[in-house]
Amino acid sequence: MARRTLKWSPFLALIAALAMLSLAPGCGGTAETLAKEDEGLTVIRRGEDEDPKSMDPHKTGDVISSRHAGMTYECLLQYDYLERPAVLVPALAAAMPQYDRATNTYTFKLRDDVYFSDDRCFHPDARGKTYAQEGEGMQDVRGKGRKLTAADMVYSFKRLAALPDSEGFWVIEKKVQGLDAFHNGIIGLKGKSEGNDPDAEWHRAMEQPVAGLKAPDDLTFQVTLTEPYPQFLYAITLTYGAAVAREAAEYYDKDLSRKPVGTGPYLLKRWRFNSELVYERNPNFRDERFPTSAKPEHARFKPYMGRRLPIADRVIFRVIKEGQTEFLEFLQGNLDVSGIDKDQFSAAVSPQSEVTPALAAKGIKLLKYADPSISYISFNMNDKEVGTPGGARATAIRKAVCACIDREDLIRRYRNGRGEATRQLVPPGTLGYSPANDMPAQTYDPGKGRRILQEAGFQVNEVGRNLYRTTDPATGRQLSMSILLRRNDSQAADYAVFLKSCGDKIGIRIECEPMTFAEFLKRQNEGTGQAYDAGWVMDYPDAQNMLQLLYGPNKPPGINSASYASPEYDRLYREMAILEEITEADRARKAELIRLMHAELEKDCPWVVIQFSKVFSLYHSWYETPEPNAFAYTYIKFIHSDTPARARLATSWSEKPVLPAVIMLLLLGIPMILMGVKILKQAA
Amino acid sequence: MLNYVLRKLAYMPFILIGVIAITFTLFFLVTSPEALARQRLGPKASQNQVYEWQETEGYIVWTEAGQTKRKANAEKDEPEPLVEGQDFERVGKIMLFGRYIQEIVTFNYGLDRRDRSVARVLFDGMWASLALTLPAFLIAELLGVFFGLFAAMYRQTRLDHVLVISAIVVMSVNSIALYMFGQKFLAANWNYFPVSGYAEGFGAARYLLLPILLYVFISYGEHLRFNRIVMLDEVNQDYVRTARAKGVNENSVLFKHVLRNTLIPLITRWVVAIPGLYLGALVLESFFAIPGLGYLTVDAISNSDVNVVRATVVLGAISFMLANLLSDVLYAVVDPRVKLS
Repeated sequence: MARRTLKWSPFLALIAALAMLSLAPGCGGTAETLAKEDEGLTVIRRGEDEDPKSMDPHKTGDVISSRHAGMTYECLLQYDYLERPAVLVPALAAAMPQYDRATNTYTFKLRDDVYFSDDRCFHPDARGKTYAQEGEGMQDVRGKGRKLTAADMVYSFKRLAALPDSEGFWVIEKKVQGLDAFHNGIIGLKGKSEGNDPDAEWHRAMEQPVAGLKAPDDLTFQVTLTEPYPQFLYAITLTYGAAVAREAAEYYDKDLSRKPVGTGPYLLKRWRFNSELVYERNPNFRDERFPTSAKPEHARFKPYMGRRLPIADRVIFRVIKEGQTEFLEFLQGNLDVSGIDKDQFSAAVSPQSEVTPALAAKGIKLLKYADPSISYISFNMNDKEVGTPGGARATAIRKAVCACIDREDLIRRYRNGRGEATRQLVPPGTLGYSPANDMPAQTYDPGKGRRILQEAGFQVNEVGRNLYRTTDPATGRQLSMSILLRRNDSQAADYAVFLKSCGDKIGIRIECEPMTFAEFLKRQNEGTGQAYDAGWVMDYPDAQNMLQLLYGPNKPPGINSASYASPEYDRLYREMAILEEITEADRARKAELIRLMHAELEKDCPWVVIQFSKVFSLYHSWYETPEPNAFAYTYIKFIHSDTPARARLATSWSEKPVLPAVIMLLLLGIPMILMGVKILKQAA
Repeated sequence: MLNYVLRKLAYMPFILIGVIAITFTLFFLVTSPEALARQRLGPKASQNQVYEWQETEGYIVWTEAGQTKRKANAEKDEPEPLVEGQDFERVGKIMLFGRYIQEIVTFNYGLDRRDRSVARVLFDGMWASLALTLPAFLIAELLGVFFGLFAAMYRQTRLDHVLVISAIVVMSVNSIALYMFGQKFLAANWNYFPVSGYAEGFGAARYLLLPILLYVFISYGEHLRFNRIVMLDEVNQDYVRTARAKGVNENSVLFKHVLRNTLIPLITRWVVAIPGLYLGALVLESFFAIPGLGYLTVDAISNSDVNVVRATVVLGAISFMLANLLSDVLYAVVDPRVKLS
């Protein structure tokens, strides 16, 4: 090869530039940066899987949206932060409401010291205008937030019924006098008017009175129900019952989804989509104090009892989708709390379900608590193979499938112990829960499952170790069943493998079809699946909320995905649903009705009941572990984080070792060094 | 050339309609207006609400009987159920598709599932994606050309072997594993970089450095091998030998002759990569919590956010078509032998 000589100055310059770049000082220092930002404040830093869908309290149909709406809005009542089982206490109401049984009327007296947060919508210049017209530029010119009145509550309940995309009307549907007619009259009017204001007719309709919603004076709000509705107070404590100011709703309209204006403890300071949400203390927030308790289990909250809420000055939610990223941010001290992704589980939790020694050494605590959400598989009761049309043979198939699912194994091997196997629909701690309600048909016993199939006339043959093949003598074909899964990720793939292995134990081929949630909903509503992987997060601590999932009139597109229709179950449900829990006799009757409903389900097996969830969360030592309450969305105002301690510890964990950097630079630099040598040789 | 460009531009609307038709068909194969309504309004929404939502979104139209029944229902607590075919008709798929196209033409992309303007969402996400992908792409390409030239010049030497072997090693590593490794060790354990995050303006630089370095590292192998082969093809050409024989110095041989003649494959590569730059790097964005378009698109597909899916498909299709046209034009600019007709 001919020897060639280059003028190497451009190459040397590039090598030098690259070397400089790779030697650029590390851009760490996150702990120091955060410490500086938080100086003098109490700051909570948390992660969130995704942005809230909406902060408009009437459109918060999911947990994340409800949590964020709960930062800025309030309802008439709230859950006591300390008491368990969950107990309602006043929030915007001055006291618990009076209930007149004769007229089914609740009377709420409102507090006299509640103000909406200062906002542009209250500014006199903004009257008659909208956010869409004024734009973001006028947001700094705010008006003083006005006092909450009973008329606001009337307006809020009407708005919940009137918005075409309201997600919460169901909580008061058919329950408030005159409200359903109001709903039916207004629901199609939004955005449909001719002229400048497409909502003109809708606004006019909003002025219509509703017989069951009254504001006799500024501080009295009355709701008259159509029938006894014992869950009413729970239902309006969901974020759907929040107070929304008419000015805010009209000024922001759809943009109220991301421009909250409430009476709650915080103001939304910044929402950078897909990145972070920052809340700061609302200076207009009423004088609410941390509850006091002399119970020994509440002793750790002593330093906060009687303190004015909210305790933290600022709350920052980082939107982090990856489990690893959130976990690493948490380990660095940049987040106070972390969930535990399945990939990080073994690094965080020991086989004994304790926090691992490495994390314990950092003072990290593990909190485990039951979450009242149930997982189940619902059979399509209209299916000719596994549903009612299939008669006794279909019932046998359903019962056999119920018996072949090893729930404990699923929880242990696939869900990292995050669940409690169940054989009934009512979670522990709720009225109606009783070991006596456990349905024997839901016990794992594949041998029994095979016997049931044989008794129903199917042929069950052992074809391998713990492997069976059940055939229908009429067709000679193996029994099979398909289950639609509501997701199509790796967890769904694992679940499919598990279910198939369960089916093998009774000789039924179980095939799963993972799909997107949209496709799943479509198939479920059309009733084109044989069985559906399903789940339900309980909205309030009343067994009715779970048992409605099998109530006949709720069939698809409603929430009864099984299309289960049992006249006896429906009759029992109707009686149970309106039963007050005032006297001991009421409570006993309700428990008895729930037992009878489970007896009906035992006969028909419309579901494979799988588990109630268990939540595992990690907390740093500086963060006061909260009292878990899955129904409450306003609890962040009670939480304390020792911000100086975080700054101190996180900074001490952020040292930069030199050796790895040197080794890596050498490794990466070898090609450059070789090139440099080559160049120098040639230059010489 | 003008004729060629005009002809290509004239084809574009048809290609775009084709792409949108495929997306539209696939979208409504896996979902339905009823399911979209339920997804949007929650499983407990009243059936009336579901119909009204579909009517507002243009999926159904009321018949005269339906209008009358709705008016009558407005007076009642217990509304009479609305019946398909009698009280309302479903809008045909062709009509829907026509409206879909009309909205695209009039730049009316509507709102996303969080009630935000789709145009605004895409615009914001695009900058975050570009902040990550543009510097990463430029550095990776610059290094690729540099190392490619170097390896070609010193082919079959120890240096060439080191470069090629290192490229193969890097290409063998799973990119996600490398992202995880980089994040865990370089950021979390050794604290050289922030674990994740993003900030507005120049504040973003500290958060972007690690993902950019990882992107460059991952791209290194592929770029080096591609550029080395392209350069080797040219280095052995007669004109290079002639230039050297004439005593032209190596700088001129490399930069004036070899590099210029390798521009056609390089341009193809660069221009085709442009749409990918602002459409984002899904995995990197997800790992490093960068609010770009990559994640947004996947999120929209999995949540059946029809307006965002439509907008990203249109954006992607238009930019790919324009990028292809641009690469054709640039061929003609850099290589006088290429005639566009």
